[in-house]
Amino acid sequence: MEISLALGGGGSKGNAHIGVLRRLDQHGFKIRAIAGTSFGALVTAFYALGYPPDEIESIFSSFDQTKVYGHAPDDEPSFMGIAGAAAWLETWLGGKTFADLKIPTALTAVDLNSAKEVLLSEGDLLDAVLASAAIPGIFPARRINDMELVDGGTLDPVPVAPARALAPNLPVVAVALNVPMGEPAQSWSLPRPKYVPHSITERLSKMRYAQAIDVVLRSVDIMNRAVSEYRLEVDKPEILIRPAVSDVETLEQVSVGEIAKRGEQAFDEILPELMSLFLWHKRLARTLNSWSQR
Amino acid sequence: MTHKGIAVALGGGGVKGVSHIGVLRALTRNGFDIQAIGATSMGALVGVLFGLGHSPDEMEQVFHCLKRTGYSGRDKQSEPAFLGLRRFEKFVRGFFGKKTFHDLKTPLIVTATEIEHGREIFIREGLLVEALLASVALPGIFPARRMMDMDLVDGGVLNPVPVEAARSLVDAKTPVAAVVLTAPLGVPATMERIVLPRFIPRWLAQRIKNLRFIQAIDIFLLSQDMLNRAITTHNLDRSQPDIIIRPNVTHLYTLDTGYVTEIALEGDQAVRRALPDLLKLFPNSAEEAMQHEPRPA
Repeated sequence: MEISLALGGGGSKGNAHIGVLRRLDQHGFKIRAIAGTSFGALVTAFYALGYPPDEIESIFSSFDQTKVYGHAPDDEPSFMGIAGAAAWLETWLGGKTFADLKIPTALTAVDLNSAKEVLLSEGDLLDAVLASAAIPGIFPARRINDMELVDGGTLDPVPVAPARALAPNLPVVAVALNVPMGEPAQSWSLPRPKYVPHSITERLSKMRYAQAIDVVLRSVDIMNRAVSEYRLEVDKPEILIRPAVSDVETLEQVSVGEIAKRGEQAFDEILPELMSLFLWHKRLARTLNSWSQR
Repeated sequence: MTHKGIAVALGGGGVKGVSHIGVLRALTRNGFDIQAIGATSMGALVGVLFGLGHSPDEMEQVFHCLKRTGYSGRDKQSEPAFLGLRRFEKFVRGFFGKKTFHDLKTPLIVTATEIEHGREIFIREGLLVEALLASVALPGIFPARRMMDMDLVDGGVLNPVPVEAARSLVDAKTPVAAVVLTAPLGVPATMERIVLPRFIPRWLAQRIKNLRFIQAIDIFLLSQDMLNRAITTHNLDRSQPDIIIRPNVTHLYTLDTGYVTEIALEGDQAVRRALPDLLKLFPNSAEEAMQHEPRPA
């Protein structure tokens, strides 16, 4: 049972991808191609390097999530910086390129200069992951070949089209972490430094400026969701998995294992639908379809 | 001569919206009958003025006045926002404060975005001023408006060109023209950059713009601009207007003030460019136009 996989963005919510990967492995699905965006790109990089899901979970759990942020000397400007996580990732992904990956892989980013989606499928792996995860303004944009790259999720939170392009004959299984339309909008709580007492942050959040920023961020959240719903309509995956993670914030510190479990639960719910894709007549239809398109 | 009834959807885009004046002027001059308007943000102001029966010249005057008085200014009691809309609010209240949707000669729907659940709201009754202030409330920059127990902001957040609103006001045979003020995706970013107040001297402004903090905001705004263009593209794919009119204004800053007459003229020119396609929407009138045209010798 072969599939192509698309892992969407969503920061800490993305740990749910680990659970989906584990179940896919357990049920004997063969992931022949994989595309990832943002946190999905991070999981994609580890999986495509050959790490089994259990190991990815223990690697991610071993990371101290209070140490994500920080600015490196030659970083592009950003509010939080991602120097901590980048240094840690260097120990795992440093020096690796796309040539080291075991399956065809594409990571997505958006070029600020041309306002276009960009597929990254060659060159330095860590650079590509950090570009794909560069939430605009929050984390530094990455410069690769004259492009100024930010989070691929800005224009397409779930990379269904890239996953399909990598393996046109296979069904695409997509994991979307964005909150569906109609649920209340989320703001972002940026992590505050530990040394700032709670009473002060409380006061700050009541300031009118902070409230104005809150309105901006909530409207960004709505726009993002609208874009991802449109994209999922235009590029429909054969199977869409939506782990229940709407309560998890993008930059929240989470228990990796607990979020991964939610990925497993969501997978178990769609398993019958996924299996039905591999009934003999469905397979035949796909094969004939791919011939007719050739 | 055949009757050329048309509905128009006027998109948002701050000062770029002045070009709607030219679009409406050129459509009327070319014999199109504007039967209904769906509008958001600055498009809503033009839609309201047109609906109240003001001529294009009068509409330009309104924007000249607004340019002099300015838009911003904060009120103590209004919702939190960076700039506020005090002067704009005072001006429009003085101008058509008591008028309601019943006073309009052209049917109009003003759209806004309900921010809690992310829904597009059609406003078609009540005070025009209230609808307008909700529709122009650029999130965070201008205060959100509370109406019917909802927090409303700029309709352009979810749907920058309200084609469905315009279509819902006319019968199925009447074509809908969408007036789009943002660049499509794939064109370099419009650089919706930070505009600093004029009293800050240039050397200081340059320093401020070089701050890493400001540059981070800049990147955030750039990506916002892209997101907005993506939403526009997807919405137009879905709503399928019969024709798209694109005034050449995508390079202007939303919060700029700009040259009213020149921007309005961009609207006229956009209609001129689209005229052959516009006439094709009315097969009979296209033939008429052909008959009137002098034959080349």
